[in-house]
Amino acid sequence: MKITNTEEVPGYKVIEIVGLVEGSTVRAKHIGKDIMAGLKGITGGEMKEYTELLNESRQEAVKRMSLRAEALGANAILNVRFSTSSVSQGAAELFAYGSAAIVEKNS
Amino acid sequence: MAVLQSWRRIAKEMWEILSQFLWLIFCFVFWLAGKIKEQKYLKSLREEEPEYSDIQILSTVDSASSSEAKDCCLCSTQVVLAIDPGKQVIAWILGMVGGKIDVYQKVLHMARRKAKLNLRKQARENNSRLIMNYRMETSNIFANSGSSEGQSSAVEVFAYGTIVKS
Repeated sequence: MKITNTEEVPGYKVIEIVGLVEGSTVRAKHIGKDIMAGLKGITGGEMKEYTELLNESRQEAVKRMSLRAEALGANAILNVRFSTSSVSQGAAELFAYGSAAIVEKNS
Repeated sequence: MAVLQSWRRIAKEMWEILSQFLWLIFCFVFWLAGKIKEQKYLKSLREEEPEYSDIQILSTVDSASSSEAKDCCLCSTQVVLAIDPGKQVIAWILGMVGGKIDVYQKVLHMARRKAKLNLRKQARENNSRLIMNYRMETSNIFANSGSSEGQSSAVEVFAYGTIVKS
């Protein structure tokens, strides 16, 4: 699965655009990690716990998106966009969307 | 004896006044600790950045190099930086007067530098020298949600782009 956020896939030729695919995940913070991160965060600096959490969640969203693209018979997703919103206190929705397409390698 | 008692009374009063501003002292301590941590962070950034300076980041699509390209992949990174209470107090004081608030700007700038560095590292792993269509978004999804202390607040910088392999 080729995933890019450009309109064309470099090195590939777009044959057909299949349709819009999206994937989302809502994640809440682990309470134990949250307290630890809060204590560390009191002096500022990078919060590794949250960085990891968000990374995992975004990977999950992208995975769901590519599963949907596969179901449509596509082998690439173009123009991927990400968006983040806080649904409630401590829970965040991570959303990814793009156009599923069939591409072919340039000869 | 009377002198000692009067001294004691003065000390007690002093303590009462001081304890009113105890939170301010705590904030100062945290600000100082935050400052030291920040300097360390900046130092590591300054050391690592020149190593990856040959990798170009574009916010547009370079059609010339994209037609020559062989392969590509998506890269993304996120940086969550906490804002310490000391900075929050400074920002609060500055915010009453209005104008620019440098303390927050510094944190955001640092987070963006780190995000760019992370992307460059990913490009290096893929033996690429170009990142196209670079996008960045900033959110404060974790702001003021600390269950243990309502003070902690954080900003998140999320950056993504397309690594082009030629």
